[in-house]
Formats: sequence, structure tokens, C-alpha cells
Amino acid sequence: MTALRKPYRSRWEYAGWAAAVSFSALLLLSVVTNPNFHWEIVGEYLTAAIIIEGVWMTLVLTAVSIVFGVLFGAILAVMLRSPSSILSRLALSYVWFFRGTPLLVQLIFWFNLAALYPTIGFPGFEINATHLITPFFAAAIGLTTNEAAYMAEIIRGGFESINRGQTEAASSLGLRPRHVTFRILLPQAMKVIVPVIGNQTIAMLKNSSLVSVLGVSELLHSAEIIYGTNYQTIPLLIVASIWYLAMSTVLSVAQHAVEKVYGRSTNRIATVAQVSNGA
Amino acid sequence: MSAVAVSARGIVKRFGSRTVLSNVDFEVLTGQVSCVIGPSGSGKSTLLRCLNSLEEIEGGEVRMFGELQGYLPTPDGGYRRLSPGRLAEQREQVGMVFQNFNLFPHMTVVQNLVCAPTLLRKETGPAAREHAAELLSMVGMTGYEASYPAHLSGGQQQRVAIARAMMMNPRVLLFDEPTSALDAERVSEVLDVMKKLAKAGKTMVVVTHELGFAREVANDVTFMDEGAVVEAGSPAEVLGSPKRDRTRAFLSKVL
Ligand SMILES: Nc1ncnc2c1ncn2[C@@H]1O[C@H](COP(=O)(O)OP(=O)(O)OP(=O)(O)O)[C@@H](O)[C@H]1O
Ligand SMILES: [Mg+2]
Repeated sequence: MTALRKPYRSRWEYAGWAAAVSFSALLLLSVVTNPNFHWEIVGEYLTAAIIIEGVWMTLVLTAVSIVFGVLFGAILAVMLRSPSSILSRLALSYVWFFRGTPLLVQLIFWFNLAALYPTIGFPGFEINATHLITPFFAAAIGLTTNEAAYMAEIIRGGFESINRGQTEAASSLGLRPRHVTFRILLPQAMKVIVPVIGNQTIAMLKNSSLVSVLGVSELLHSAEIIYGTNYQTIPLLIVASIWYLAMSTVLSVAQHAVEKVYGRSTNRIATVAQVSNGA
Repeated sequence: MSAVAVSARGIVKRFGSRTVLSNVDFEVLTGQVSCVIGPSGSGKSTLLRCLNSLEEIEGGEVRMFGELQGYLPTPDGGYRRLSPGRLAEQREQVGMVFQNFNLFPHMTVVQNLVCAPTLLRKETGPAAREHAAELLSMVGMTGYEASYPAHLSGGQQQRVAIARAMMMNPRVLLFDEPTSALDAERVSEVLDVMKKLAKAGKTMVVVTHELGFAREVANDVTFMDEGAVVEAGSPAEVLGSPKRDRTRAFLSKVL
């Protein structure tokens, strides 16, 4: 029979808990009982059709800009590391520009692109820009191109974190540069990159609210539309916040799960386990 | 007299303003083992890396079986660096084993081995796996096919790395201090594999601090110091009765 052993706890920890719990309870009480928050309106609109549509649009924008941001960012990262100075400088300028100007400004630029270039293309094949650049298109392009600049740096950092010996070992086997990049370095870089992409996704969830200025009916814009007519600004911002919190909570949980998988098998990455099949 | 496998003539290598190799000559005959010894920072690794075109050189030329390595001669008597693809092609015939093993951590042992021959379409998947099984048995690593490098000891990783380098059937094997990162009791298991390869007639260049190995296996020993070859000859000459003071000083420190 082994005696029950308890871990050490400081007296202050109990005191801290007591203080934290009572403070939170009081805060909650004051928020819940304050009639100015209009919780009945919050409840009324929480699942309103237009809000749900906004939630969908936010998810779509986040997914599109992260997926294409990663793809485009990976291309930029490969260019950044390229021995060709044209490619690396092109990528460097891109990153410099898109990280160096405010996202909001970039979005408005894309939105107004049609005013700057009424037609896009070359003589014989021209597209009417006003038709092409819908608010959604401007939003998706704006978020993606901006995200790609950040992803490029993230992915480049992932590559840089790999020991130089890996490249040398791969080269000495006669592997071509593309094999070295995609079969040897990229899978190892993923370990560093994936958790950061999780962070970026959560940030994008909220950054996507910026496109409300373009009139894209994502979550925040949906809330704005409603309070524009009923003037219940605070309750509707609470509605939007509840949804943002819910979505980022789900994403955080997913992120931790992914990180656990990567942490558990520090040296195993399933995606490349097929090399032996000569794929 | 066997043919020259590796020949380096007048190699000059600079890092910025620093000359790391100054006019180095080095030669290995087919089927022979050549050991390179010397103090830390003397340029041994750099020489090995130049042989495999992992470094660009500022002077001289490296030939493998007569073929100029890393460069194309230009009409004006100069050299132009080969394209990355051509460099890779040349490296196919040279295997390299590193101090830190450098196995691919995201691949199992067998994947590490079959990766190059299958990606480069030298062997089909099944043929490569059969070839891998043969080599793993040669290095005494049968049964570890599905293990990941992180779960192997240093000596085991290095034996796998040797097998991996052998998968491309290289005509020359380069070793850069293959046992320096190993615990003392693991050193011999790697040296035994290397002796086996030497007996089988592999052409090998071995940078090492293991003078016992050099004495027993090497046909030639080259002593380098401060980026230059100080003394070269048979193990008996260089290790037994060195002519130069610097060689003597180094040997007395190592022994
Ligand atoms: N990439 C590099 N950039 C600048 N200097 C370098 C580089 N690689 C090597 N050197 C320098 O070149 C010299 C020779 O290095 P090298 O690694 O060839 O020595 P070594 O004989 O292999 O030494 P060790 O026994 O420590 O491995 C050293 O002084 C080192 O600092
Ligand atoms: Mg060295």
C-alpha cells in the first residue's frame, strides 16, 4: 500500500485562486446583470441567418487565404533561397513590399484596381477589370498576397533551421536540387512550419474582418449591417466576438493536436514515408 | 600499376581573404585507401569537400578517373562552373560519409538507402530494397530497416550512412572523420566496416584521427597543416619515420 503523495502547493496559490475566482465571478455578474449589454438582443441575433452566413464567409476567406498563402509563400521561399539572384531579389522585393505596407491599404488598393487598370491583359485578350474584381475577389487576393509574404519568411525560416549537413549529404548522393528541396529539406522544415501556420490561421480569422471595409459580408460586416439599422452596436459586436472566440478556440485545439502529433514522433513525418516506393 | 582514381592538382581554396588550401596536390590510385591526417583547421574537410565539388575552388583542378570535376574548361584556358544538375551527376559516382552521419531523420533506415537510387531512377523500388538489404547485411544492420535514425546509436547510424553512400555504387568513397563523433567503444564497429570495404577493393579517401586504422589499412598517408600538404607517403614513412618536424610534433601530440 503506497501512501498518497500530494504535490507541493504554495499558500499563495490558494490565495491567488480565491482572488481570481471571486473577481471573475463579480465581473461575470456585472456583465450579465447590466441591462445595457442587451443580452436578449445578443441571444436573438447569435444564430441569425445573416450572422451565420457571415461566419461562413469568414471561414471561407480564412481557408482560401491560408491555403493559397502557404502555396504562394512556399514558392516565394524557394525563390528566396535560390542561387539565382534575379529570383531571390524578386522574392525579397515582394516580401519587402507586402510586409511593409498596411494590409488595410493593400485591400483598398486591390478593391480599386479597376479604377487604376480598367482592363487587364494584353491586346487581343483583355478582361474587364470591373467585372473580374468583385469585392470578394479583391478580399481573397488581398489577404492571400499579404499572407504569402509572411508565409515566405516562415517557410524560409523552417528551411534555415535544418542542419547544413542534410543538404550536403543529399547532394553527395547525387540528388538533384529539386529532390534536395522537396524530398529532404521541405519535409523536415514542416516540423517548424506547421505550428506557425496554425498561429497564422488564427490571426487570419480575425484579420479577415478588415475586408468588411470592402463590403464583403464576412462576420464583422454582417454584424455592422444589422447594427446599422437597429443601432444595437454593442450587442452585435458581442455576437461577432462570441463567434470569433468560438472559431479560434476550435482552431487552437486543432493546433495543439497537430503539434502533439509532430512532437510525439519528432523524427517521423508521415507525408514523406512513401519515398521508398519511388513515387 | 593501377590507374589514378582521384587526382587533385594545385588546389587553392579561399574563404573571403582567408586561404584555407594553398596549392594542394593529392592523388589516390584505384582500389587504394588514402588517409589524410592533420591538426584541426588544417583544411582536411575542405579538401574532401573540394574533391566532391561541394566547394568552389579558386585554383587548380580535381579529376576523377580523368574527368574534370565541378568545372568545364573554357577556350581561354579558364574554367566555368558546371550547372547544379551536372554537378549532381558527377557526385553520383562519389560517395561521402560525414562525421555527424547526416542520415535523413524523417526517413527510416531503408528509406534513407533507397531514396537516391529510386529518385534518380537507377533502380526500381524492389531492386533497390534488395540492394539495400544486401548492404545492410554487409554493415551488420539487418533488422533495422524500419527504424528511424534517432532510435539508433551513433555507431549504428554511421554504418547505415556508409551503406547509404554505397547504394549509388560509387567509384570512390570519401570519409570525413567518420568515427570522431562516436563513443570509444563504438569506433571499432565502424572501422571494421571500413576495413571490409578496403579489402573489397574500394577506392577510399579517409580523413581520420585513428592512426591505428591508417597504419593497418592505408596505402598512403597525407599529413596536412595550415592548408598545405606537409608530407605524404606510405604509412610506414609518414607515421613511422616522419621527415618533417611538424609531422613529428603532430604525431607526438596525437599518440
Ligand atoms: N564555410 C567556411 N567559411 C569560412 N571559413 C571556413 C569555412 N569552412 C572552413 N573554414 C575554415 O577553413 C579552415 C579549414 O577548415 P577544415 O574544416 O577544412 O579543417 P579540418 O582540417 O577539417 O579541421 P577539423 O579537424 O577540425 O575538422 C578552418 O580554419 C575553418 O575555420
Ligand atoms: Mg574537418
